[in-house]
Amino acid sequence: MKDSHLPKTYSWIRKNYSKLVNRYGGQYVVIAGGEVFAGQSPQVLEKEARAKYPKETPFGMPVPRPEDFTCAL
Amino acid sequence: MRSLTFPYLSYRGYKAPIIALAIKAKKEWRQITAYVDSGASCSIFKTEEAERLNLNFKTGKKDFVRVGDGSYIPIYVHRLPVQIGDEEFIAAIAFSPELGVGFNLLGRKDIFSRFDISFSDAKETVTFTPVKKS
Repeated sequence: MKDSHLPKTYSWIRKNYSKLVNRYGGQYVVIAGGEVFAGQSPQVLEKEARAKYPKETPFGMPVPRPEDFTCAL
Repeated sequence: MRSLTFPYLSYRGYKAPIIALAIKAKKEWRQITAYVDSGASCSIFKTEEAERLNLNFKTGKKDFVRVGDGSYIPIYVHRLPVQIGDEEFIAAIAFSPELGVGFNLLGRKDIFSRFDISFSDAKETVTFTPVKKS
């Protein structure tokens, strides 16, 4: 489906979701400009993303681990 | 007032109704993602979100919620501005250091009363339609 009405970075997350889970599962990441910022505190990640992509609104997200997708009650 | 449809996010065949929303704290909006959980009575987010919002989560009202294994986890409830699509409103958002899943959970309180929320596993979408205020 077309998702042009959704934030650009959300569309990027949708397209790259499996890669995010495989590589960053269990971590908190900030995403801007198609780049993933990881490995530091969320505040530091936010600052780095805003500094590198000042015209973008970064997205933050806890990346689930693969086991988080198993069936849940 | 228009509906907003989010496609499910997909991982190895598992489909998840994860949406984009924004939360404001300390006069700054932050874009985040959350799993729409109709079985959750309230919204519970990871404490990393509070840190990114520059919010001391422990200043919220402390409470406990029962989770799937029968145990109770502490939550700290804040009332924060939330934006979903064109709709902006105040909602109870709780943070918990013991949230055992890898998602922020968007639960019913203050959310499901503001939108009609329709899950379509056939279309792999979740649609938020603002409820008309009488």
